[in-house]
Amino acid sequence: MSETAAQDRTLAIAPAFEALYREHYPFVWRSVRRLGIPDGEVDDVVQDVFVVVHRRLDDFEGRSSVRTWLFGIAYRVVRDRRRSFAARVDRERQVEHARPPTEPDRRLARHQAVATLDDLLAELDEDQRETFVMAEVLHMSAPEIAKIMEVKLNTVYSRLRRAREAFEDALQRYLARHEGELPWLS
Amino acid sequence: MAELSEKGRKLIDAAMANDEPPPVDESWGTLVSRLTEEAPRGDLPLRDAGVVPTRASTRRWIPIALVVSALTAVVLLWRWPPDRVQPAVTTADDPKPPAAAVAPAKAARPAEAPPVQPPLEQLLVEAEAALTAGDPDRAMALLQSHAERAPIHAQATQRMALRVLVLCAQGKHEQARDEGKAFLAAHRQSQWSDAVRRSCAASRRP
Repeated sequence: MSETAAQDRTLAIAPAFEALYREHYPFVWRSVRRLGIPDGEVDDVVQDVFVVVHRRLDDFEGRSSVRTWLFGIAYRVVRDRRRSFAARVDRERQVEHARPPTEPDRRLARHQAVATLDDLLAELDEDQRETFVMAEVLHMSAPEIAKIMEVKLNTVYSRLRRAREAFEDALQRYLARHEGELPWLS
Repeated sequence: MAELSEKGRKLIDAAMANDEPPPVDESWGTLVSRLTEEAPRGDLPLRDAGVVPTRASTRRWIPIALVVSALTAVVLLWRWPPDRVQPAVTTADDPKPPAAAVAPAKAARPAEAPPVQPPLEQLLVEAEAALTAGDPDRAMALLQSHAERAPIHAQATQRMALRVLVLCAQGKHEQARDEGKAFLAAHRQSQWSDAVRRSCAASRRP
């Protein structure tokens, strides 16, 4: 490769990566958040995801959609990150659950639907939450989920069934505290 | 398999419709700074994510490491007198330049300070000054130096626009048109777009 050609290639990296970032940043940000990363950590984790994406941009072969590829990376970054501060997150959850999850002060700055969804998702275990988010929130197919989680298809279906049940149970408990309605939806 | 209840679906849809991330421009600037200035942190799942080379991918680099090591040894033997050079012995596990060959050379020139690279921003300032002063070749050399040191950089947009203007000044109109077109497609709203539009890159092909 000539020096000019090599230079051209170097210059071409930035626009391609920047375009990818601008298009998919909201998707990655929401995915990371739904997977249970605390508010204060989300931006940092999203940056971690795109650092990995930047290094692996040439590896994308188009065998899956860009979103699925990005989510696969986000999924592994989140899992690793979660392990690294699992103890701290557990402590935070215990503090939150010690208070009645009705309309506390921490929701003032956030939309109620988002806060409620995050509270309900927090009641699912890790595998259920991930499966539920991929299927019900991000609308991924079961084979895509199986590939990302590296599990059998039947495992996805069984996790999804249990996750839906757990989510509905949590929703019913929420509704019982709010006279059967989601007041902010009306 | 049981589906979600209507209220559950409404809740998810409402949450996703109202969950706006911070402005992308702000986060992009932060990411560019990090890619440019920071090494990847230890807590990243680099191996899981495929960033850290696996054993198999490491094996693929062994021949390249051997070639690099051999070339390094040849260059060192060529640049320094033989009596200052120790034998350069490398293995596939050590793709770095042979320390044994480098150390004596440094010892032989104790008064020579390591070269100080100018700040990245300074390269672009000097490139623009060189272009204004009518020295497009020097401007291009400075831009290439900037690109090699920081392919992804907060000022990459400025660098690309400058490159188009420098190509025009060098008389490379065809290449300027190609790069100008790519630049305007990716950075239509950039503060540099007008400069590119006014350059030879916007002229019609002969």
